Amino acid sequence: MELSEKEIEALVLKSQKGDQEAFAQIYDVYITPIYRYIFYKVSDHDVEDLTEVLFLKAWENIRKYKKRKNTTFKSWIFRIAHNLVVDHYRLNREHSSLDPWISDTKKEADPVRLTQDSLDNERLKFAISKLKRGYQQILILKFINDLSNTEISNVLKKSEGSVRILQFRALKALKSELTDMGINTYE
Amino acid sequence: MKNDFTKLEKALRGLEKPLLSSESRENMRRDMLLRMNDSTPAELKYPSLERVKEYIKKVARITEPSPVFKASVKENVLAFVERKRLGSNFIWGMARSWQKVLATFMVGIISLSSFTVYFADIPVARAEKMTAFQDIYGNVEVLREGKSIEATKYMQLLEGDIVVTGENGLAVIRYFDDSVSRLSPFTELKMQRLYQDKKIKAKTKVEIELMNGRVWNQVVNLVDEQASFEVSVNNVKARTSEKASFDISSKESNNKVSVAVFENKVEVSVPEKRKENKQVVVEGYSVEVVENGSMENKIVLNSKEDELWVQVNKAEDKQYKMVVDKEKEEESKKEAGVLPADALYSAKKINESTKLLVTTDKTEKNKVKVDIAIKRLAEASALLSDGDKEGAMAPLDDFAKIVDEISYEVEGSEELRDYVRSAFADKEKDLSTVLPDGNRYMAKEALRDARLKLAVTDEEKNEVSLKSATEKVVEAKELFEDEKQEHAQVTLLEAAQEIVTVSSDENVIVDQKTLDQQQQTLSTVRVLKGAVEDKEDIKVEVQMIIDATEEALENPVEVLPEMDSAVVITIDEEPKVQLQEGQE
Repeated sequence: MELSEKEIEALVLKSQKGDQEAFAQIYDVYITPIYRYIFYKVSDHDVEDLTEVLFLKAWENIRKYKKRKNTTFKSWIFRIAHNLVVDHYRLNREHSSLDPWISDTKKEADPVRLTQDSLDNERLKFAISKLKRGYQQILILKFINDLSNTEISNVLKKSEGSVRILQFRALKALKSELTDMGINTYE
Repeated sequence: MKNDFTKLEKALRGLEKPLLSSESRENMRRDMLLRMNDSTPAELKYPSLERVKEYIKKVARITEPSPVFKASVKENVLAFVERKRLGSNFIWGMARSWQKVLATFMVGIISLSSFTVYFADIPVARAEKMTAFQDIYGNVEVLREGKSIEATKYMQLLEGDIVVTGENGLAVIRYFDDSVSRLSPFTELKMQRLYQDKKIKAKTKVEIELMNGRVWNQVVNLVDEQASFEVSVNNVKARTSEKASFDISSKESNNKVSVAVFENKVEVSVPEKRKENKQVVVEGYSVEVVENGSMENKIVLNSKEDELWVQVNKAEDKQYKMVVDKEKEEESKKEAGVLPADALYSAKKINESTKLLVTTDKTEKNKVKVDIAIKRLAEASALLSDGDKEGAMAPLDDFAKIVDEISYEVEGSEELRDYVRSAFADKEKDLSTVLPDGNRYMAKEALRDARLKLAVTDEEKNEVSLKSATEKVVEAKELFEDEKQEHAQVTLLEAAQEIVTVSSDENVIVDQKTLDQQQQTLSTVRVLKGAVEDKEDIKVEVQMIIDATEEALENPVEVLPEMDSAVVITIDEEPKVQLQEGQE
């Protein structure tokens, strides 16, 4: 479901006054991107639980949201998701969010068997799974969840300059992984 | 600059994305809507007058006295009636029973109408702390504004006072920040500065000047990042912002200053031309500063001359820690007031809810929430000190819930951030002497988790994690010294995991503050290394943990400037890449 930013802000205002139906519509808009974000960060059996907790937290705290110059509701809700995942890691000492990526037991995912040098989904996912958590995060937010640099800077509480630096580092590290796998990443 | 990531970016955007099935989606939606109803705040469920009516109904449900309380009242009433019937032979017994029954009735009436009657919010009965003599032996006097006053036990000391001990004189000074100084005979010590911030009580600065003689200093619980304890001798300054024990001596005759550290570490500085020569002196070591200002390191040896002074003070240090711990425990119990199992607890909660309801200003409301959170923590602490772990769970849960609520507010309000910092720092101070095997450790951990939750940026979170890991390293050391090896190893392992995770997180743009904290942590780890040197049975395992920790701390990611176009540097690469403005 897609709504314009204006429509979303209108739904937020209604939700802030207690309109549960309005919030349910917000849920419909963000369930997929939030699910995807959390999917890549925690293990399979925790994804749906955390997604549900996230929306409940958003509901409980929705009156604290204020539209500001460079802040959108999208970056606000992703910020909650980010904090939730960080707390989840610290409580569960979960240092790796790699499981969802490498639990794929298909033959094609086995790096030993990779003989082609093409950049396909499985190889790419495998290469990303080898990166440090912070790099995975920036790539997920940018390329899977399609957040702009401004939105990412609000989620991660960093300047846009820092976001660009991290993104550059992440892409460089990913390229390096792919090169080690014998995969060509140039045009 | 040509972007050579185009193909990669295209591939990333084209990645197959996980899909939530429509069934799961609908189930979650349904679940969420059901749960949302419970979590809707009263203000939204019940607007204006309706809200007040519903709130009163809710309060009335809570004010139902507990069955135990009701039974106790009934018993007293019946006992009184029976005595009346039997006659007035038991006059004194009756009088007491009468008073007891009357008191019980009064309490019952008050608790039933508590939404109109407010209990006096009994503030924590902490006396304003002051700096004073804790003990005096022999000839001790105080020079104040040119006059000499004979020192007495518990006499308050002010800024500018000079304490002078004579031939057989010994004095123990306890400062308002809970640190102590023990003066040997023939010592002159000046109270240069005794500062406490009005808003953030844990932000304290004690500065004393040793004009002659010898003083042993024990610092037990500085927690605020800007708190410090400093002793100056001539131009030499010995300073700490953490727990530490150190001995300083100076003789007028030879202009030599000696600083020996017996617990943790102290920073010693000497001015040298236009800069300051600083050195961190860790326990087991001392420095001597000679007349030309140079510092010479040496290992502290327990010579015959020093043996008694050092041994006595080490024993006193241990004793004092226990005294402070006990005091904090008692203060915490007083602060907690009525506990969950008490009959009047529901009335206490009602009082808190009423306060929240009548406070309309957002920041003030959040401050009330912080006060309530601290109260819950104090209750948990009191229950834990009585060994009631189970009973402490409910207030600890409440504490965590309130912290969660406040965490969304701190970002937008500096006033609230300062308030939280002050309130939490006070509690941290109270709990700072508690070790992992202590009863109240759960409360200490809850406070650490809260600190983490309230940190706004990832960098702040990492700083908080590092600080807490450093504290755990110090705790581990104390446990090793108390021969509690197993506990010590577990604590050390937790600290190491935290340090390694934080230090290897390249998502963090390291700033100077983080680097400073990493340095602090590294010095503390090295102190621990020294402490386990002679423990052959655990040395290997512990050494591995320490080595991993040291390695993590010695290889931080390079500090980067926060700019829109930046030079990217990593420690094993040459600086070369420049990102243009607007390039993504």
